[in-house]
Amino acid sequence: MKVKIKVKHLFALAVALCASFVLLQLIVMPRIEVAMAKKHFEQGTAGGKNELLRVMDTSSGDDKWELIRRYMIENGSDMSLTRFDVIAGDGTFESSTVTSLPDAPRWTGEERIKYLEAYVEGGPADGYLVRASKQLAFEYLLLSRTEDAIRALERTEQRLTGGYDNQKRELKFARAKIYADAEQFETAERLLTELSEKQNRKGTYLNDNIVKLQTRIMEQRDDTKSSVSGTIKRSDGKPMAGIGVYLRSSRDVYHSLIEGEPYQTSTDSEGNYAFKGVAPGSYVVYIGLNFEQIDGWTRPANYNEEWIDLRGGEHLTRDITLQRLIQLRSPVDQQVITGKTVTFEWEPVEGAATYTLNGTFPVENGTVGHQIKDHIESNSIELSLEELYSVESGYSYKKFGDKDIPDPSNLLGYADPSSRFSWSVEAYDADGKLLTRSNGYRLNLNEQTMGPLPFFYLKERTLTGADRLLLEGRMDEALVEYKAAYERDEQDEHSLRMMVKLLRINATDAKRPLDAASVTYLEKLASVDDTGNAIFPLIEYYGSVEDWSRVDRYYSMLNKARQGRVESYSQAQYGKMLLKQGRVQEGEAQLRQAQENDPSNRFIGPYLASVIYLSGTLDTAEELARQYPERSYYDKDNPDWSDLVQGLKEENQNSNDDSYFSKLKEALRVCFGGEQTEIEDWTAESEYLAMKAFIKALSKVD
Amino acid sequence: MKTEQEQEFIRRRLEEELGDLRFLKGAEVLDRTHPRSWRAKLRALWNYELELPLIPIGASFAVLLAIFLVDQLQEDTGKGQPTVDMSRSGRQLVEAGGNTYWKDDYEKAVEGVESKDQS
Repeated sequence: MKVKIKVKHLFALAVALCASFVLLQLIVMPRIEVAMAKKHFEQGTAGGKNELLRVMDTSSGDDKWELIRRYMIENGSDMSLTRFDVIAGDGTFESSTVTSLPDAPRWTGEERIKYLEAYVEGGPADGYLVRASKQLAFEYLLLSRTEDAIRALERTEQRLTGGYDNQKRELKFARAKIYADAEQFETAERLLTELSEKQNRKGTYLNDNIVKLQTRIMEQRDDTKSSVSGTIKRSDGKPMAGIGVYLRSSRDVYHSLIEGEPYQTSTDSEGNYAFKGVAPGSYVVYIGLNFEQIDGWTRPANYNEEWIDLRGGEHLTRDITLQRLIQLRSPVDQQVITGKTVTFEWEPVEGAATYTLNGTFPVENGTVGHQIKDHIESNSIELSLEELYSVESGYSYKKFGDKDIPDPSNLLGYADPSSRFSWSVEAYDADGKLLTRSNGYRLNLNEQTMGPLPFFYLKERTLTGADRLLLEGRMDEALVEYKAAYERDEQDEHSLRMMVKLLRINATDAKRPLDAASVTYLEKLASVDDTGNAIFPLIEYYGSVEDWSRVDRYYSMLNKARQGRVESYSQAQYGKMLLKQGRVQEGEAQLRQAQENDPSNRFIGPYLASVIYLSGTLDTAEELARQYPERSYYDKDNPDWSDLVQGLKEENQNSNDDSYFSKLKEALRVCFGGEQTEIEDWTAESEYLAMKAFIKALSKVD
Repeated sequence: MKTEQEQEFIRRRLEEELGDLRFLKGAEVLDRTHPRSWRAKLRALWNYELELPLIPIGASFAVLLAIFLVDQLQEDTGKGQPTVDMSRSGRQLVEAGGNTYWKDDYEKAVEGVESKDQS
């Protein structure tokens, strides 16, 4: 095949080809490069970030601003201190996954500063410029470069022309806020005055914020207000610079951190932070860290143990020291245990007096955690499998057909040879303060922090016929089979334990108390189970039928099994049973101890009642109520015992009734008795409002 | 083949009939068919008709294009490779055994211990 072509046509063809090649290189290729870089960045492909940075560097004009806008400004949050990877509270760790491009790599502060600076200088003067400058100011603030932050905001304000009045006001407000944070109150107030003088519209979001900031400055300057400050560092001495610090009020801690919460700051280069002019209330300090900062470390804090109660005028210091995660030694990496015991061993922690061993059972969509043993005095412990089999845990539900039943594997617990268990350990000092733990972020970011996997299998036993029925979701048949197996062999502790578990679940599901036959099995189990885990249900049962001598007997058994350290919940329930019997002195002693061991102060009410009943005055109770406010994350209506006792005190003083106190004692006696109808009758007759309020709150404590 | 007589006859007829016509561009025609000046030579070259074999030329173009594309591709994949940001990009977190891991690290570790168990 041949083609005829004139030289001049061939030449024209060559010219056309060359031209298109040049066109490709100059216009099309850069565009493809930009498109590829965008795609790689968004998908989080390796090197995507560098590609994007390169095209940002090489492009110019509108293209450049468009890239910075799309990938930095839109994705960043303005002046937000809440955008850290992990928000660590009192034992809670929340990893955030919020970004419009979930897979895109993150910019470092340095990268953001470089491009945002360019944008603030040369980018088009519009709403994005405002956002860019706010974000730039925030990056500067994290590095304690306050001056630069102010300058960036001011520069943008100058660049914006007419038509952007609101944005200019926003920027001015941002500056005022920075001055207020830096305690340059005169400048901050001057700016705020300028802003409020030129208010154009009433009731806008900004106007509200202006008023709020003015109030805050006033509070900050007010020496009678409280302050909370401190230093955040690692146990190796490295100060934690540029991390978020949030003083979160008891009204807010039950939800995730939001930008609107009033007390937010970041640490300076030495890791210092300070909140001034804090309003009275109860607070917990939360901190915000990036993965690099938390990787391999933990904030040692336990739920409800970090409360700060401010009444006004206090200047408190709360330092936080991040600690290294404990390394686990054995059993790890899915070791299969077939012997009769298992030895848990971990790296010792300096200064630790005791350790607590925790475990998890796998369930359908996660795990169920539980405590295996506490007050362990060395960095290893050998446990018999029987001890593990008798561990108590909560249970999750699983669907079988159209029915939800407790997850059978969860019920079998350590007795399920197919389950993969995990374990972790916490270290405590002699005062019972948490030092560090083994579980946390293990991301291999700065160093090898991943360590061995905390998983193991127990394959000492094989499943019985009843176990298999249970695992198939046939609970009722399994119960019959366990019963039969136990009757065949009374040494079969496993069948007895499973039977008791199922009987208790049946009773709970049917909302009825245990029947006498079930109680017999429970008693048999309690007599063979050394851990004491089977005892508390018996105390509850005999308490409900008012068989007090058995309650006493089982409580002393429990106390012995727990070596004098009964869980505060069980102890408080026993204390309330003592009150019910009129043994107020003994009840008060139990409640006091339970109250001391329970950081949530949930039993402060009955404890206060017993103190009032015994002491015959309200002064001690008033002090106790103030010192131990009842904590509650979710229920914002939990009683303010301090107010309630205060009310009693005032009512007593105003009543001019000599018999007020004996009436109060009588009301308490009725309430201790726990008979709902009697309490209602008393309430209907009583004329004292504060007394009624106290009794009402007391009768609701469970 | 016609006889010479016939040829002679036709020639005469033509001369008779075209006797009134004069052919003026003889020089130009000659110039085109046998160019003497550089301009004329250039124009001849410009309009020269080439006969090109399509297959070999097409094939060599295809080879060149392929080389060019492969080269571009290599350049692209080569870029950024030394500074791979594997610490973050496109990785998911997973919670397992009370710890938070990168999902890929975790899966690799589990695979590792499982294969060790089997061997």
